[in-house]
Amino acid sequence: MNTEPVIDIRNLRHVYKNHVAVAGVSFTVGSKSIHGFVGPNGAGKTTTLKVLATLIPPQTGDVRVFGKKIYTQRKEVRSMIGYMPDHFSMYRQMTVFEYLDFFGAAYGMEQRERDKVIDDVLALTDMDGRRNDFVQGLSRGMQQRVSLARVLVHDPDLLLLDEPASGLDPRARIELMEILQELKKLGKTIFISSHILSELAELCDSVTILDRGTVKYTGSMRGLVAGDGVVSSYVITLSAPHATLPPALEALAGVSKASQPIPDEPKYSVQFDPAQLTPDAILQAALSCGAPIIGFAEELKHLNQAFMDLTEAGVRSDSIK
Amino acid sequence: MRPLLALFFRSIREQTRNKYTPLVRGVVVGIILLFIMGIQDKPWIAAPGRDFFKSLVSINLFFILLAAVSTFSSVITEEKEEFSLGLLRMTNLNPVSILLGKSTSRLCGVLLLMAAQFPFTVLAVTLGGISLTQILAAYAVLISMAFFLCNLALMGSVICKSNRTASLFTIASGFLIYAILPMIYFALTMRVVRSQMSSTAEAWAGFLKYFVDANPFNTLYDKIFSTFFSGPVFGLQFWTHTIGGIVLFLLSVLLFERFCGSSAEADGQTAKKAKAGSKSRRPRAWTTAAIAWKDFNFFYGGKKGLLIRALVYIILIGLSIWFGNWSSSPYSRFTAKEFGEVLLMWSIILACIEILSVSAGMLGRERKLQTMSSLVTLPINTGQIIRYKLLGALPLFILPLVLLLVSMIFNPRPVQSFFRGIASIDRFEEFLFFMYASLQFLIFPILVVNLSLRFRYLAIPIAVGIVFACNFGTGIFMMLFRGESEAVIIPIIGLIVDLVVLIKQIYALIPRIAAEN
Repeated sequence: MNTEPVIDIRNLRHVYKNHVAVAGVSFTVGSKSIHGFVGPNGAGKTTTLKVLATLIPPQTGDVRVFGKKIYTQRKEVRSMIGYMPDHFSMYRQMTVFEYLDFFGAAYGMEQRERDKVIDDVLALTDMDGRRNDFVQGLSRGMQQRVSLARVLVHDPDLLLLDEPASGLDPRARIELMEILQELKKLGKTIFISSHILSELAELCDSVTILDRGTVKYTGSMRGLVAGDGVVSSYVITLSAPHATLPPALEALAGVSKASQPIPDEPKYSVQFDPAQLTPDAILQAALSCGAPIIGFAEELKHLNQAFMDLTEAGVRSDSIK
Repeated sequence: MRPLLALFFRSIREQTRNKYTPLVRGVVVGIILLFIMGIQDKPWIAAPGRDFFKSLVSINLFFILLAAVSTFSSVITEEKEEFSLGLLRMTNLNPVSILLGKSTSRLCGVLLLMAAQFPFTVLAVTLGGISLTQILAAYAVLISMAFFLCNLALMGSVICKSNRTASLFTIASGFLIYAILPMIYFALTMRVVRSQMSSTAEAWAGFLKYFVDANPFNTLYDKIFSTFFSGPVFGLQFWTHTIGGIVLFLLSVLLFERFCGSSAEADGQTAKKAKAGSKSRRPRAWTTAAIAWKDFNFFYGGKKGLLIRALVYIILIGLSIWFGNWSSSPYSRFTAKEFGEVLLMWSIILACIEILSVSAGMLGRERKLQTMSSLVTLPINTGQIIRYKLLGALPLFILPLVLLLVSMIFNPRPVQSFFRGIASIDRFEEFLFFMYASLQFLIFPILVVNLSLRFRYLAIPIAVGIVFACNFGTGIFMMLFRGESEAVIIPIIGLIVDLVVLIKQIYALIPRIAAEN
């Protein structure tokens, strides 16, 4: 099995006049996964995406897609990627079918092949019934679907989506996320940018958080929300308060803290060293002291909190003097 | 009062802050000074002041006409194209303040340019051959003409949906008022003198005479610039143009809600949805040249567009033949030779129009639609994109070519003599001038393509301005080397360098715009 990363960015740096947009970014994205690319406005997400889409040559650093150098081998790279920008760039006088037919032909596909692919992508994006509608008359959500269908026409292995959910209503967002899950099942690698981490939480396998041109976190989504791995934190939910539970847990070797964060609420938080204790042992100790347990789960940091912890407040003002 | 003038003040402020404003005014004053220097160099001229002022007025006329078809006619259509008219209408600005604010500021820009040159033009009185009254009268003509055309273009901008159609509206109506109606008058009076005068013809002639008397070109060149001018500063032309401008402005206000209101937007939406159910009759995309297919069908109208063009061409040619025949002597017949000449003339005019339209739109439209990134990320290079785009535009030249070929059947002499002329070039200086002229024809569309990638609007007028300024510079340069026609080799080298630089810039601008989208 090929374990080579689909996207491999090493020390990418990009400067606009006297403004450092991307300052030495490095991360990789594995095959057949959905990778979130998150950061506040002005973090350098779109610049990185444009480099990946071969629109901007990397000024310094090494950027590879499917092992190919992004700019020197851009013709090969372009046939393997589908880039959807953060705005609607469409030929509005065309019908949906004509729009997709044009891009299919522009990628060198024969008419019969195009017919089949267009049917498939329209079915996938649920735009079957709109194939003869003019792009101009479609709603924003539908135009977004057509843009996504356009990106899929030439069957690329990697999709680069720049804030695809921006401006969509909640229903359209959920439907878009479902389509992306479908695409992942079809073996596509999806690189999706957003400035809202929680939007991608359930969708992504891995995430890179960018702030002020630098990578603040890259890895699994679980790793981001589960904390640093030195201290584990679990929540025990009871049917009624139980006063002896905290001291009983604190008596265990390796437990650093056992507390009831909100008085009168039968929820207890326990923090322990995973090297010394297992969650099973914690649960066993709680049951032994007779606590009426109805829930036992790992305490995950709230996504927004994780995002706030990693990124800095205020507007970016760094520049090259 | 504040909301009424809010847009106007904003535009004036923007114009004042714009770094190009003082530059343009400086260039205008520089041109005037060069003119004065040129005139001083010719002591044999009888009325140097008048000659100098005449040239200056001609330049002003040229730029007013250019402003009318470009900056004036995009006043409202640019908001329509940007879908920002609805936002303007949502504010507490009423149609009068929107129209007044948007059009008057542009008009003021033109008037301020004239104001900047005025103190220098008074020097013409000192040079001799023209009086201050003549200068004031000429400026009254220019100002009233600018005002009239500004409001004519404003009405076109209110009625039409795009900058392109608004420009065409302004060109067509300006042509009708300033050229066709006076021509009909002259033709009519010539016939009336020759034959029996009917009362209808007399009435028509009387009506059309106003268009001749109020014509700014006639007023300037036949009346104001004549040696014995003794008319008032504000003559018939001034008043008709001023009143006409006010009427057109009021008409624009009345038509605003009909063509720019919410009902108009709703109509557009309904039309699109109504069309949506039917299947497209356009041919499938060409696998080998999809971009050419897209451009031909969606930018240039496809086969339907060619058919409409053919009909328009037939009407234009028919009209010009009818007019030529009608205005000539009743005893002379319209010959096959003349028919061939008419066809040749139209083939050249229409080919030039198509070249301009293609060069302004082939890449400029992709920039406006923000679709450059989708093209650039296709697995083809920039050169291929340009080649496919040129291929998509080629069918537009079939009709002018057919006209040319048909014209050669009826009258091959003009084309033959053109090629004979080229073949007979035996002197080096003739060859140089031929090279200079040919390079200009080649460089102009490339300059327009280049500018269409830099400016959202006005690529053609800016290109005209640049070419005009460059030719002016070349004229001055040649004056310095009087009698040495070989000196034209330096401007030729300059043009070749420009050509290479412009093409290289186009290749560099395409990916840059795609990245900026």
